[in-house]
Amino acid sequence: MLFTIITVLAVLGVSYRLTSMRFKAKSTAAGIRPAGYFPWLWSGMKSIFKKEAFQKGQRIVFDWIKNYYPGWTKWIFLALAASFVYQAASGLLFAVFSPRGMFGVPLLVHVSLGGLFAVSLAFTLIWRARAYRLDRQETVAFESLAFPVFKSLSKPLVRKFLFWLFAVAGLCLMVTALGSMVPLFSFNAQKTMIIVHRYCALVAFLAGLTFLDIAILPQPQAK
Amino acid sequence: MGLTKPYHFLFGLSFTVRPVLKWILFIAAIVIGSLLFLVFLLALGRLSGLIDKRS
Repeated sequence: MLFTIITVLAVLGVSYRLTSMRFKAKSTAAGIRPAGYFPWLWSGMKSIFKKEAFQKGQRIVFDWIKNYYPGWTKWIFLALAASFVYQAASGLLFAVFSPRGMFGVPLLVHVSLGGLFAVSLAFTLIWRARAYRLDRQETVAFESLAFPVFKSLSKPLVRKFLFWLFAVAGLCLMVTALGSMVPLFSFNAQKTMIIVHRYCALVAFLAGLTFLDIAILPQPQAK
Repeated sequence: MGLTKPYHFLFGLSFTVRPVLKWILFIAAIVIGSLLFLVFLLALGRLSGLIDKRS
């Protein structure tokens, strides 16, 4: 029950934060004051289900993949993204809505895709770690860290932080999945690992969602 | 039980490939863990001044 409450609040909170920042940026870029946040959000949600919006979103994502994962490496990113989307969706939905937890075919697919997620995340880190390392200026920014922290951090730095946060959460997901499969721990320890696995999945999902908004989707431009 | 043939096949297969899956997870966790440890050490080195910030 606690996990359900935390998940719902965290997903709603992060979604509100990301969409309200986008709403403010759009209002500033357009130079006009729109009707309000909720009407804007509602019209945006309706347009998501239109064919043109889907095609536009697909184009944006594939252009981003082509830029950062050229040639055959795009398959590694696509494997990571597809396996993570399925695992996050199935894991969080069953954890929140099913008192029994995950079972049957969704569980079999979830576990099978775990292997693909692990391999693709390892390759992605080897391939992209260099692009997300801390620069000299960014280390200086950390030294003179001022509060509130998030106002003092630049967007590229947040992007890097999210990339590494996703990697840490991914590692935690793998270790807890592996730990609950090997006969080394007691039943109570394995139950605890499943709980930790769920929280790590939530962290990875929120990091992925924020990364998608900050790094992949274009920011509103002045017309 | 009302379970279909493909489900039985998948269920059996999950036991057959489980040792391979465990090895895949173990190796991937070692690789990712090593990389994260390296990143942590590098960041710590830069913050403490042990690694030259110009490099």
